[in-house]
Amino acid sequence: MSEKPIPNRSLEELFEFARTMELEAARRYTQLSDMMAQHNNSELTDLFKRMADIEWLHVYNVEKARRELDVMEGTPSSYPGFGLNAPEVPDFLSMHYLLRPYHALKLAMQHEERAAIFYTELADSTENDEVRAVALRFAEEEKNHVRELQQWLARYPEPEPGWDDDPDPPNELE
Amino acid sequence: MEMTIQNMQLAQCGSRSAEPYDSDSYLSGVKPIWCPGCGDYSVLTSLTNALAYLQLSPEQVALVSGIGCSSRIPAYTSVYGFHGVHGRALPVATGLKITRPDLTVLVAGGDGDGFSIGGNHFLHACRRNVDLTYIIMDNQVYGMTKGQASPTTAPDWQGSELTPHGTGVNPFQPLVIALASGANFIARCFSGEPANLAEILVQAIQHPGFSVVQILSPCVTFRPEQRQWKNSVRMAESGLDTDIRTAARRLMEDDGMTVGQILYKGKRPAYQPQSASRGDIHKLERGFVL
Repeated sequence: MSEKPIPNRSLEELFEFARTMELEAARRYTQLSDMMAQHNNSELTDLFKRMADIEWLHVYNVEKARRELDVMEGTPSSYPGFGLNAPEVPDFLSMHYLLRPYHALKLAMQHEERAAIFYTELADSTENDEVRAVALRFAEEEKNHVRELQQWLARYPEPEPGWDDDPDPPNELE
Repeated sequence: MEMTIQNMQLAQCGSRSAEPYDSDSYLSGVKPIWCPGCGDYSVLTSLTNALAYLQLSPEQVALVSGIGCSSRIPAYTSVYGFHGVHGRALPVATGLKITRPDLTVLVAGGDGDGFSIGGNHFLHACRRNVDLTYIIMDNQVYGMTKGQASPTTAPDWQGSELTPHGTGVNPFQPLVIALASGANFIARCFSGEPANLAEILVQAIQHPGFSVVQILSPCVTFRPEQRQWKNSVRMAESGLDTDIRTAARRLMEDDGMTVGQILYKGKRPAYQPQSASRGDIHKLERGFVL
């Protein structure tokens, strides 16, 4: 039920969506970092914090591209919850307090892939040449992010089954 | 303002709009301690987005809660908050709205707080139809006290040592009861659909009278099987039934997993007594002297 590309978006709408998606992803990774800090998972706290910083950089990059192309600012928050289900924004419900960097990077990669597919589908469906060009540019950037995450992920082997075993689980009843 | 990397980058991006509030404006500095995977995080995010969409200033909003995991939510926001007594969020919120009709009063809590301990208040809040928005994070379990069956738990759930053979008791049907008791706006949402939830919350807040929004919000610690809710909920095909008989049939026939739409929207005027006044504090105090 996530957001689908809407054909015939204007260039202003495309930039507004791209910016909002990166902004929400930055907010979400910050929240995930805070969540893991509360549960003493320091590895994931740091990793999600780094992801948030990267997403903030992407917010900046979208704005820079908008200014380069002299595109007007769109109207923020065109509907309630705009961007909350955007392809790049990870889901709270996928979290577990014992997640490892491998899982977090896989999750981030899946969302970057979703964003690349979103922009590619948008480019395929639009009749506006300018929108198609920018959507393809964004799709390529998302694919670059996937490749960067693949390199990062290579440093972490997949955890053995039982990674979520906790000898003192929070739902233990005594 | 603290100069974090985010702020520096936002500053470089330039001012975006004249709108004074974004979703971060409604967050306090207190970090949630809900379990990772808990649905209540999404509810908080959707709520702050809904408030940002409505551009309500934080001092115009009050969030009243009872006791339980979900009732921690006022502490995580920057609006006025009241973390009250178990099951008593609705009477506190009713009193607040009656005396301060200028405030947007929201009420939040869980299924145990709202339908068991606070069950009677729920019925009468629906009847009174004061202009409140009641946000129920329903996970069908008492999470804070380590996983006992709640009023909305299925009768055959055997996950608690207190009910090893299940409760054997019919689960409470909050939205049917809400409709029968007079609630003016009824919706069910899923915390895994935060954009939809934000949209429904905006409409619930804007609709006059008592609005009930039941949110299926998984407890991944004591009901880990609820992680599968994302596969079992379904979006309602159509909503906005103003005909109470159609809404009643829809709610009675539903299995509780239909989400994402308004299920009933009534036209009753909100209850707001003309005689309500803030009164004189000294006069009020004298009334309590023994």
